[in-house]
Amino acid sequence: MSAPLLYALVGAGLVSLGAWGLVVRTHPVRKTVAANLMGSGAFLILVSAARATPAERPDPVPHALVLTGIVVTMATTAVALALAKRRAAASEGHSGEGASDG
Amino acid sequence: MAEPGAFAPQLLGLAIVVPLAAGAVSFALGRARAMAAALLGAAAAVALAAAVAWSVATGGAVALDIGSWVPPLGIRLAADGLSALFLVLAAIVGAAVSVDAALASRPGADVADRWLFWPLWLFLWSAVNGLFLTADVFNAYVCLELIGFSAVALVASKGSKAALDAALSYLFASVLGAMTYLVGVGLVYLASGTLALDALDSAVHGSASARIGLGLMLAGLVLKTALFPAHFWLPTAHSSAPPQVSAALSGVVVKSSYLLAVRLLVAATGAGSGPGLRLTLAALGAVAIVWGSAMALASQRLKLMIAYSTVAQVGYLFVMLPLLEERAATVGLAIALHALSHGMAKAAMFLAAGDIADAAGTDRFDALAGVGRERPVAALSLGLAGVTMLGLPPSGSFAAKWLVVQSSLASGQWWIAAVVVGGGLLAALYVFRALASLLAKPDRSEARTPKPRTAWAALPLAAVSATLLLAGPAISRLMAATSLAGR
Repeated sequence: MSAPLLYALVGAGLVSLGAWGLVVRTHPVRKTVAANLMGSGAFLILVSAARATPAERPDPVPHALVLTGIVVTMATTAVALALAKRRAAASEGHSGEGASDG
Repeated sequence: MAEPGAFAPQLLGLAIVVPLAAGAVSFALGRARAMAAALLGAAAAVALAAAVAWSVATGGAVALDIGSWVPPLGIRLAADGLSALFLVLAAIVGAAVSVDAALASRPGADVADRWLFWPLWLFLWSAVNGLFLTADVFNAYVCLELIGFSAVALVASKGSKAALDAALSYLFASVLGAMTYLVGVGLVYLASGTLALDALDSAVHGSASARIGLGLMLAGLVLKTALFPAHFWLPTAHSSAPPQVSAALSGVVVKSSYLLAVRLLVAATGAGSGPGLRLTLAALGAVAIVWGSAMALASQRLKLMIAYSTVAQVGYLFVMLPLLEERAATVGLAIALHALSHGMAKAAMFLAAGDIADAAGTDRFDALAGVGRERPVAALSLGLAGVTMLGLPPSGSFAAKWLVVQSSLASGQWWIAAVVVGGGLLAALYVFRALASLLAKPDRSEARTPKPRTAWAALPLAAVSATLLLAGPAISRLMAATSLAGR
């Protein structure tokens, strides 16, 4: 088995695990972890695409894509955690219209 | 001296950059002046959309290679008639949403952080324009994520428990969709070595990995567009957001991922997006029409009803896809007409519903009896938007349904005609039910004190949508500069 194929298969496994977690888990933090897992899997697949062609050097385009993707995933994580924090603060408050912690 | 039209490609870049910059400036200026900066940016965005539409109508499709880097390495922006029309849809809905939000934000408004609406709203506008214009499948992924972030933040902006729950569920659905799409992009790139939308077909022909990739990309977009059964996140997200946000989400945002799905289907006609795939999407669309309408009819709240109606109306956009290959021009026109008229009418409905909920203190149907008398403009807007939902002439959706029924009968796919006509009847039920409750005799008279706000932005929006047939020649002219026929 070639290395790119191994990477791609591991990536596919991570994507499936992450997607499963995103659908099945209910806690926002668990879902956030699942989203990160899925993202890492997607990036592995992209990186393996860079090596799959029999050229001498790897193709730089997928690496650029992965860099962009990492930034996006970090932003996703930040937004998700901020919302989860707000949500937790809202359920600690006694009224349904709380969450004025900002 | 540049020849006339030489500046046209730059307009595409500006249509994305100007709202983005205006959003950033409006955020930097802070609470006191955010609205003024955002309104200027919104006006510029409307002017740019009109300019792009004009230049496509007079000079044909436009393309811009950013930084003069040509594909496959560079990112290309392209506008044909369909992109131009979707830009115009975003501009019209955007103008109404901006005006309505400006009217709603008066001193002493109850939500402290509401000024953040302005930068987020312009970021959303910019990202939506980006998705309409991009001709690069990875750039489209970035636009999808940007749309997701700004839309999620806008949904959460009320800060209530329900709003935060809706925002979280929207965020995770959005991330799942975007990631699925991204994996698809990776597989397609693996097979083809290109990210350019118009190079997909020849590149992916016959490759299994490309077929799977294409399927994943479409699955992600289906989730983003809320096609049944991937619509689960839409009703809560769209119904618990502030009215201006709901209007933008239902009116424009779901159409943006739809447009990309159509582009993909067309670009890869020869490579796995054949009849089977289109038929599957159409079947889901048919179920969406029935299910969305039934749930709209069963809703106990006005905004929830309108949100489920979006689930149904998204179904129409997919149900016509099997006809696209054979009759690209006619069905392309139907797609444009339906997306435009539904986008405007649905935005008008949400703005009007916001006004009604404002008057009644709730949007539960059992508390809405007679509110239409207090808020005649809102009730009239809902009624006019109902003309579009039902598909009565001279609305754009009437023309769209007419074209679809004609094409489906001509190509022997009568079931599409049956679904389209039946869906109109179901829409009649839920629209009339809402109007009946608004215009019913009030339970108690003079109990409510009218607040100084009227849905003035909703009325012109609903009126344009209900008479969109008058703009038929202009729309046809733009669509003449569009090719949805597969290569």
